[in-house]
Amino acid sequence: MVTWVAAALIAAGGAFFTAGLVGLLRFPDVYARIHAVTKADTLGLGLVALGVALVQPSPVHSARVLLVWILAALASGAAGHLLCRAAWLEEVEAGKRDTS
Amino acid sequence: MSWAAWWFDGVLVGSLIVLAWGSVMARDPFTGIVRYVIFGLLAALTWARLWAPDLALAEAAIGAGLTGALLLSTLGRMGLSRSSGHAGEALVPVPPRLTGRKPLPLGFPELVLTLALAAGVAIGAAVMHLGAARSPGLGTAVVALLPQSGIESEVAAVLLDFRAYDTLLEMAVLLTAVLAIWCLGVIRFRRSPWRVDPVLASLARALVPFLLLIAAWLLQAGLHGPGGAFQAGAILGAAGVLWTLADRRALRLGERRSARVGLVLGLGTFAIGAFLPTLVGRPLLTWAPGSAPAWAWGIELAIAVSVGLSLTALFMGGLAEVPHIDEEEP
Repeated sequence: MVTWVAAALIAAGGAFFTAGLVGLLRFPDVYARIHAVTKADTLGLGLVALGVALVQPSPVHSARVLLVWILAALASGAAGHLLCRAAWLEEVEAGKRDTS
Repeated sequence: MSWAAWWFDGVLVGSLIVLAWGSVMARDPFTGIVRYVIFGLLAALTWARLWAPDLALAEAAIGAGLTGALLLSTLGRMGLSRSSGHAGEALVPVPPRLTGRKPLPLGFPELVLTLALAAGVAIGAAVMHLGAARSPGLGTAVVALLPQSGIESEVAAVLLDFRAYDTLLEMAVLLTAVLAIWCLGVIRFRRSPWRVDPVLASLARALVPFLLLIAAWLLQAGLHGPGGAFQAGAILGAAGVLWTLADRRALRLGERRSARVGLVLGLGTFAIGAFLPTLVGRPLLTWAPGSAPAWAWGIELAIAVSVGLSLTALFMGGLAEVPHIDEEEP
């Protein structure tokens, strides 16, 4: 039972990763792309981490996996902010498809 | 091995080839660096798949993380960052063949990708075939000699006992690199270096303690299994880079006596340990019987501190000419 719940969570996480990836490739400007990647991937990683944590042999192992997610979420959020800020300071306009 | 594992490894090796090619052939340096960093991450994953966790850790921390940071900071100083729109006019000479090339025929990237994947699967199959031949390498010799050394971990025994001479010289190379960079001149800043994004500062405050903890753990783990001084040093270096970015007072690192002592600590401790035996008539770098684990522990600690500080200093790229804090802009 736990295995199935874990599998479902991991699959859901994979779906969010895929959504983030599609957003990265298809969204028009740099801000929207950063938005897609940081939000969807953080949630996706959270779901995968939750699923993996469920099937760990001990609570200590589960806590480690969740700690990885917390650190990644912190880093991803801050990195998204810094990238957006850098783009803003370079006066990249929103809503325009850039060449990169 | 299951089909899923075969498929995964094939994609992994194929991606490595595509990324290596893309990194070298990229038209603008920024793209090349980004591809190189991704290459480093996948290389780390490859080492992990080959059951070489030590190499995986080192590759992830140094190959992907710190080398990427070094390359990007160099690029930033060259005024070549792509966002500023100067990518083409160049301090880096771009071969004319690349700048004026015609668009690739349709299907060419797919062809390259297919060929790379095929090559990846072929190389993977060849490696697996070699593995099936069970070439023992030097692994069995190391395991046989392990009791003689007294150090528990094979990797640590090789690095600090069996081939300690190489490791000693590696530390000398690292120190020389830092000193050479310091000789090249001071760093100057186009904008005031004191404006640091508050989010970045908070992130550094949250992550640096974790990085220190992970480094300490890797250091003690290295005596029994995967981990060790260079991996711990690389994590310390990452903490140093984050600190440098978030708190510009870090740029005064080179002026501090404690930091300078820390930079030479690894080579110094190692050299003292190496030469002590010669005083009592034994050859260079022969630990007294039974003392190898103690030396290994002390030298690992010293090396980790030195590697961390060296990588931080390399990232800074020179002694900084920064205004004092009381000259800070409002």
